[in-house]
Amino acid sequence: MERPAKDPTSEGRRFGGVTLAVAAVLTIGMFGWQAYHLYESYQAVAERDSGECPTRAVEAAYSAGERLDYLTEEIEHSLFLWGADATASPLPELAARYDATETELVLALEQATRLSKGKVLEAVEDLEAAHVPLHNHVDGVFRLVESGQSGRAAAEIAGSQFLGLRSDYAAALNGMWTASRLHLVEQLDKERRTEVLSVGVALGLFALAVGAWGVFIGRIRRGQNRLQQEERQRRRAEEDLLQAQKMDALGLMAGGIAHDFNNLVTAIWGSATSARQQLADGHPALSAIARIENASEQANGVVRALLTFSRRTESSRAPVELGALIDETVRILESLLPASVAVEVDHPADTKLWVLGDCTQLQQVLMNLALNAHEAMPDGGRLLIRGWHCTEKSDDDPRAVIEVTDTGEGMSAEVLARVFEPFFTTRAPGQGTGLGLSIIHGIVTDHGGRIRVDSVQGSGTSFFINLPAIEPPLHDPEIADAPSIIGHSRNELVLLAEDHQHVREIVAETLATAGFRVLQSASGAEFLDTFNSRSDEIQLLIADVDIPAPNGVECIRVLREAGVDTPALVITGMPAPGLEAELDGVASVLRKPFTMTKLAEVASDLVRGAPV
Amino acid sequence: MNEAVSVVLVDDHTLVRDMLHERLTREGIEVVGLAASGEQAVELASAARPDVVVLDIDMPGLSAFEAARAVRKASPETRVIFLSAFVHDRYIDQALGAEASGYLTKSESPEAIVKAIRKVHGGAMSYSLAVLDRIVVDKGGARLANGSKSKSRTLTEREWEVLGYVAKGMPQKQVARLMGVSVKTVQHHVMHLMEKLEIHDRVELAHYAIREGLIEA
Repeated sequence: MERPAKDPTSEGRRFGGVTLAVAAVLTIGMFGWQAYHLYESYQAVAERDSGECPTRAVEAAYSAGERLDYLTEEIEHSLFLWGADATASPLPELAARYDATETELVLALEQATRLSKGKVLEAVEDLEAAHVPLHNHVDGVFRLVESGQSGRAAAEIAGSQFLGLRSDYAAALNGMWTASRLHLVEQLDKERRTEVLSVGVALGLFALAVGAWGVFIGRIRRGQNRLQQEERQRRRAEEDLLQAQKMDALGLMAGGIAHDFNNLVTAIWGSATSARQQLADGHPALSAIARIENASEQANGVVRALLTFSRRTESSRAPVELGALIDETVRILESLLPASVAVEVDHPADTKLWVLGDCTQLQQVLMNLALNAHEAMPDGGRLLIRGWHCTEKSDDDPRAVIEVTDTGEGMSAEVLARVFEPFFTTRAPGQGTGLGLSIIHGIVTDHGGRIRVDSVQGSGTSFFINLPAIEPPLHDPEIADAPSIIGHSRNELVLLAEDHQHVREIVAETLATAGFRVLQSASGAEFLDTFNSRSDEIQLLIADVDIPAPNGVECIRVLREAGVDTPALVITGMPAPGLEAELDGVASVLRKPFTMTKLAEVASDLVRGAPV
Repeated sequence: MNEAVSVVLVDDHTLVRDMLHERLTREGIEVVGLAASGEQAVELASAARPDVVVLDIDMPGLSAFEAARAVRKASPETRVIFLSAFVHDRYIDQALGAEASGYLTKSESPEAIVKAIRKVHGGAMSYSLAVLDRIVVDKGGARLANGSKSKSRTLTEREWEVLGYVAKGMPQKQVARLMGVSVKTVQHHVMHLMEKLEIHDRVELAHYAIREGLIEA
């Protein structure tokens, strides 16, 4: 079973659908990605703003810790300066501030412990660990002051243990600060890297989406262009069809008119010649009759032209080489065209343009077009006649094209639309029949070809004739002698036996046209009788095998047995293999079907004694 | 002195018929009947048994080729010459098929027509050299080499006849009556010839018949 051909339209549509889906998915992906990162960034900012942020908690702890460190130092100075009367010193106020700040620090550290992670949490815990012994130590100092042992308290606070505890506390505080800063920097770094990745991916998606949309829009554009092109082609085909229908209708009409007109002209002409014959020489009506005959002859010419346009005339078909035809036509044109018209010829030298056609009619086409071109160039110009090969787009059939281009006045669109119509002419009345291009159209169409005309007013006109090309013939018809039945004989007498009256008469007519004299017989008996009565004159015997008894072969055998050596030809329509061998030395054989030309040739060869 | 020849002239164009009548009579040819259609021609020829019937090809009604066959059947000694405004291979092919003795065009002079009638009456043929050159004799008789294009070659004589009538717009009933067959047979022929020609519409069929020269527009 034959596989159905792929439908290019549905395939294209499928590809367009896939492209659209990819473009849509990429676009949605791009927006989704961006939305996700927008949400993430918003979350991070909101977290920082709400205070529920480890960095802020660490910062608060650090601030409280620093202040506490400062207050511890103040308490130390105060005890050192006011040691004897510690209660009169600013110590109580410092103690109150110390308690408040210490509470603040504890709270901040609690929050920082809750929110922090990793190294920051370790640093926070280190600070807590360093803060507790220092705090206990300061508490002990306060208790000594309260119990009136200010001197001991001052000594306690200036001692090496206190210095050591403060130093540890300061180191832990700095450690926490550094860890927090490092963490912050790392976090910002991480955020920036994520941002770079995010923007990169978004840009990539964006580029892909733009690309996919581009492909999709490109496809739509191409589709639109193709549609427009198809629309143009369709419109052109419609115009061509309309034109063809118009020409067809005109052809029918012209043919119909020509048919009736032809009968009228026949009657007028026949009657006029009849009248002329009945009048004595010098009769005054003779000149009028001559004018009628003349007019009838002209009318006959118009009828012939109309018949050619309507494709009613007979044309012969033989291989014609268009290159040679162009050269031949140009040779004739050179004597007809003035020197101001430069004729250029161009056709392939290596490959020949063979078509099957009527050489005379095709030459008429070229001559008419060339002479029209000359008329379009009254002040001279360039006439180009080109020939080339091409291939038909629709079916890959080889075609031969002839172009006839002039640099003349060109034609308007209105003229162009009607240029092939019969009786349409731009010439002054009486200067042309308006049938020239109609005839050309008729001839080209009759040859299975097409004719197209392009024209630009003021620049010139081009006619393109597109004909079906054929393979080069094996024998060049120009070289081969045209076969004909004429001139094969010099009045020799032939005896013919054929029972089919119509065939016999046609064969006899052919032999007579070839120059023979013919004796006809319808049976074997009649054939032998006729021979016996004119045996001295008869120079050729032709007998169909299948005639009433005795049959053709028997007749010839009878004569041979009687010693008659007149050349003989036996015609047969039966397959009868081996007849030639059987009749070797007795008679030649011509098998049906055969042409009259062949018959004349064979008959001629036989009377001359040439082998057949 | 020329031998007396009796002729029946058949042409639907009165002017042509009358002109030829006058001319032949003056040349000593006896015109024994004038007809304007194939049917009339058969009728006249059967009754008068003329030596020669000059038949116009394109006439209304019965096809001229069928008329020629009917004339030859009714009067075997009568010889037929076709006269047409046109030279078509198809016409010549059909004329040979109808065993006509000659084919003339109307553009030939009346003298040529007179000469042809006398020649045919004398037992000879009157075809132009161009036609003789292309005649092929085969088992069935004489025909024209490359007589018509490939598709039309596949049609039988009967189908050609039906095509001629149908393309002229004749109803199938009338075709059946004219051909002496049943309407069903005509339909059968039409179906076959449409298949062979790959034409499926009567207008196209008419165009084809005109292009092939089977009928005139």
